[in-house]
Amino acid sequence: MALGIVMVVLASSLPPSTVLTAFAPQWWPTTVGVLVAALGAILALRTSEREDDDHATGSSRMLALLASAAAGLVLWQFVGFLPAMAAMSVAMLLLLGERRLLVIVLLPLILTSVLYTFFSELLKVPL
Amino acid sequence: MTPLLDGFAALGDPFVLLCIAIGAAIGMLVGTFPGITATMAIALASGFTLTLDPVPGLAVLLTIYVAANFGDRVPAILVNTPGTPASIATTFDGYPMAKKGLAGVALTTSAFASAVGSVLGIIVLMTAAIPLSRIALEFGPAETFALVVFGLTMMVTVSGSRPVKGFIAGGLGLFLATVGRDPITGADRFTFGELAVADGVPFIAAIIGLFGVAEILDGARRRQDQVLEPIRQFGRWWPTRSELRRMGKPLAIGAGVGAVVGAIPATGGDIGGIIAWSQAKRASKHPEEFGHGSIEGLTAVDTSSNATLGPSVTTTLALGIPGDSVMAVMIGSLIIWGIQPGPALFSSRPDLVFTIAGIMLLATAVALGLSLLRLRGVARLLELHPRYLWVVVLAACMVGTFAINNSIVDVGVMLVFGILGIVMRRFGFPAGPLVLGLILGELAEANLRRALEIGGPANILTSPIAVGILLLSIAAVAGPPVVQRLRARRANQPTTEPSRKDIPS
Repeated sequence: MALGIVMVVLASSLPPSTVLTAFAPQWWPTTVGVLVAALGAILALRTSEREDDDHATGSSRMLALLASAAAGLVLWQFVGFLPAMAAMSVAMLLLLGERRLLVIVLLPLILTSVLYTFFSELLKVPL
Repeated sequence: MTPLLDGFAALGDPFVLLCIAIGAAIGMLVGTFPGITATMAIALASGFTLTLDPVPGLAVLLTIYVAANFGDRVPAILVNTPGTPASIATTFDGYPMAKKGLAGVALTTSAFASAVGSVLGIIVLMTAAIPLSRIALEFGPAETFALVVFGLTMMVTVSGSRPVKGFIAGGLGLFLATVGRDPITGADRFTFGELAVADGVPFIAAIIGLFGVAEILDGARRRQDQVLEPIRQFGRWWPTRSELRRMGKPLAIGAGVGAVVGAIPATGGDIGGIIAWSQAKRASKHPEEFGHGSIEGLTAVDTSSNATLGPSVTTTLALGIPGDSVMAVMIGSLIIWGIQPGPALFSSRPDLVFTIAGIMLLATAVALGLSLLRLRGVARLLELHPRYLWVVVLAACMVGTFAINNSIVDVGVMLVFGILGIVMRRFGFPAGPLVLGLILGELAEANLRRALEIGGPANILTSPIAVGILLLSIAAVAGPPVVQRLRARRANQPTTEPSRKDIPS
């Protein structure tokens, strides 16, 4: 319901149309917002349900992956693609419990090289 | 030249054939690894293929689509885990067959049934797409709006969640689709002065986030640490004559069910497989074998599941409404290539139907060939710990998303949508309707506003086609609960879940 209200508030902040039309640009987002708010109200009236959360180890694993990806993205901007991607994949493997040195070294090396060759050399994407 | 010859001629390019080979390899692998769906693979591959021309790009995406529907049968048969949702029903009889020492026969039967289903579906595409698009060409704004509502409604009803949550997800998608320029007046909306979103939310990045990143993260959250233990005794590889004779009827049932289910917007191989299994059981002389390793059950399921592919592409391209979740993602790529799915497409480019059909036929042949290779090596792949896959796919998602617009902002958008996808899953909101709302939002808004400006609500309410489609949408949402309640009342039982006693768990 809150999501719908936010949509309506955002839509009402749009400037009025300069074109002569019966349906201004804010009409559709407002309509969608009202519908979502109404559906949210129906949902709120029913008993709230959440799926079972018996995945404590999994949740930390998921957060580790997400944090590594976000850090990799930031690194990419500052140190460039190759070191950022290699560091990100090493961090992901370590956080996911990989301890074999050969895998920790080889997988990031191969992954980064393959991605770089495919995108930068073949598809000419400026990584 | 005729559209047929023009369409097939486009496949003479060796680069297109190479793209089909690459797509087949990716599709088979994607299907084989449980946890990577065809939807996710297509979303990810969109980033790679947008730099290609449309035909080679379509060759990669469509071949992944076809081949994933072959590869996903392997884990369903060998480890009782569907590689993608489309092979859920394959586990009903495939795994029991493998446990009886008939894994080889199950894999061969599945491959041939899948190929027959796929070819029949492609014949539907070749024969029905252009006539269907000619009918839809007569559609005005009111009918087009009604069609979008129908597509969205179907996506909500089949997404496995409570409809209210599905509609809220769809509403969020429709709202996000308003970011950027207003389709009628051209005024900026919700861009906050940022050029990066002037053309709207980058939907390929959003799709990769919702289907790629969120699925990997969710897989990492749910997956237990133990690796899968595949069945290693394959037994004989070819069905006996009596087994072959028993496959005729389920092949026909599977093909018929698949063709119908595939043509209904938003429904795919998973639903087609389950319905065909139930129908084949009903028609069989040995219904007691179903769920315990019936070759008839396996044949019906895999024929049907793959027969949905062609009709699904037909609905997507001829009407502009995605036939299943993979097609919802593929529409995004088509739009970026300048191919706007919808009734006008095939009147301006009828050859495209046959190019697409040709790609799918070649993809089926290659996937069948790969499926018939002895699959002991593939079975060994199933023993790999998924952490390697998570790292590889996440890295590929990031680079693939960057490649779309050479924009690091898009990669950030992808991660944000990945987080949104996880939150939505956590609270039971399906991602499919959001994506559909995002892709079809502009079409819905522009056509509704045009319809209302032309003649007010009467313009919609006096169109028999629009009213018919809207009534169908209402029936799709309201029908199942009403039927369920009536059945419960008749049986004098409380209204809980529908009876699924026919389907093995």
